[in-house]
Amino acid sequence: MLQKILALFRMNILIFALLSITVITVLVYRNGMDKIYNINLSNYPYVIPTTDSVDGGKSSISMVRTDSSIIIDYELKEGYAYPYAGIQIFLGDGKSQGKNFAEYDSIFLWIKPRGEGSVRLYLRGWDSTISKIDDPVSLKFNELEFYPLDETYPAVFVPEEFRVASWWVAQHNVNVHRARVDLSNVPLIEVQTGTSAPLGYGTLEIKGISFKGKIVSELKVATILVSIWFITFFIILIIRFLDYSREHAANKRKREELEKNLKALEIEKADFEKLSKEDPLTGCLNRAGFTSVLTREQERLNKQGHPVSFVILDIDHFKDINDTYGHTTGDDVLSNLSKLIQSKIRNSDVLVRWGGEEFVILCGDTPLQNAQFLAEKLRQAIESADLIPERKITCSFGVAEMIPDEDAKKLFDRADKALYASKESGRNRVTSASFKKTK
Amino acid sequence: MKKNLFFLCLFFVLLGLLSSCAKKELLFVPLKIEWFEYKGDLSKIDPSLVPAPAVENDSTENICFIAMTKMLMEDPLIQLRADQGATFDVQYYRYQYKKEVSIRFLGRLSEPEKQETLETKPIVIPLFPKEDIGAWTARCNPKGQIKDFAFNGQKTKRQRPLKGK
Repeated sequence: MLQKILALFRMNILIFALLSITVITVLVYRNGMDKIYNINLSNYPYVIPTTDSVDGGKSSISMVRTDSSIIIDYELKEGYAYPYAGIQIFLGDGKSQGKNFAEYDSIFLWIKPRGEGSVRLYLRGWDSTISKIDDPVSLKFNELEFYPLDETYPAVFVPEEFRVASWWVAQHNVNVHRARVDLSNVPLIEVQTGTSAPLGYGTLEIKGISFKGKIVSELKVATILVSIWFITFFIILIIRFLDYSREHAANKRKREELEKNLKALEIEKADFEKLSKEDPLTGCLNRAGFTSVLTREQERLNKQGHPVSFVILDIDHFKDINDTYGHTTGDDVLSNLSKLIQSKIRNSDVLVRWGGEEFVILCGDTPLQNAQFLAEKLRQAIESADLIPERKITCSFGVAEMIPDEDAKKLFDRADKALYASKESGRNRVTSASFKKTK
Repeated sequence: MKKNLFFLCLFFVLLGLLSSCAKKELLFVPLKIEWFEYKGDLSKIDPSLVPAPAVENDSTENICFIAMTKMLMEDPLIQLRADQGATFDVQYYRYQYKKEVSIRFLGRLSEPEKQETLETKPIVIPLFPKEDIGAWTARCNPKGQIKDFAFNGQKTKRQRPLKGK
């Protein structure tokens, strides 16, 4: 039962499974499959403070680690065009092999300033066409400037909010196509005071920075789902095609079988029809089969004037043969006689077994004298033939020609009377019902 | 009086016309013919006759027999006799004349007691028989045409065939 249901509804089950996979995948993707990269500054070793003193400035900084964060106290002084202080966080080898943040879609920064002013976040990227190992400034400045007090805690950013520092582009004469944000190889992160940080003392407490993304990108998930759908529908198509082929083959087989049965039935019908019109003993037509032939010849006589003659023959002393030698011998006489007659008459002539020992030959396109001649020939052939070994067989004949528009019964009566005259005259002779005109 | 006579005559004329226009009913006569091939010595019939061999299913010969049958069927004298219940015996033989085969027919009213001899003994038809023996002779030429049809040994004009046949 279960198998039947499965077979019937397999397509629907397949589509339902596909829909379920899609929905579950979307839900799981939305609510899970997260990939998080945490940099907990309280215990991350590769963090150093930095100021504009490396560029010739006079700002100063001190960094203290606590259990949960690092605190940098700084003093911004004039001396450099854009005084700054901050920290540098090294990733990978810190020079050319960093971290790939392109797979992440959110950046969380736990930063608390004491005082106003903006903060800059740099994700310094290695670009093999621009960057040089011994030149830290050649690392691309993917920058983001914000006001911590205006942000949530942690501040949350997305990669699209970053831009490449225009001064760096100009300084390094970077081609416009290479001047876009690229977070695929970040060996250095910098958190600094921003352009609007006031001169003087300040403090930044930075707990850490987190990068959040998905184990598999949205594009990949979508691609996978679309592929699954595509493949599934392709499989459905193949299954449907196979089903169709199977059904088609089955229908063809059924149709062929039906046609075969129909043919067999038609043959059987034809055989039955034939049997119903044929005398089983002699194989010649019986009265039922004779009707259509007679109608045809009557039409030819009436419409085209083709003469039609009948020859009736009756086996002489047939009852005596049956009584003396048995019905089997009698059947042999009938069978052999019909074969002999068939061999002597034309193809267009029709032999009919009219009764027990009586035969009729319908001779189309045959006038009376020709039919008389045929009858005489038959009489002589029968007389000289050995139809049975026990004795000689003879027949008496009556011949008549049909008149146009005549009732066939009258013709038969006439031929029958001629036959009777043959019998009365001594048998084994031919009598014709010749025409006589009254004055 | 004259008026009555006129109408009476008119009546009989009309009756006569109507009856003459009536469809002539065909009657039938049972014609019984028995055929015997003379296989004896032709010289007994005529020393000048040269026998011709039989050819099975010779179409000309078949035409001869059919033509002969037709002639007999249509002959009023034959019909008259047949109507009276007569049967006819017909003896025939083949002979060569000018290298062509002809068939001679001799017919007469049937004599059953003499039928056995008809294959060996020729029918002799006297020229002027004392009684009407219903005898006749005819010849079929190599073209299958019946010639010299004559009753009782006398060559007469061939009887006109029945109208309509």
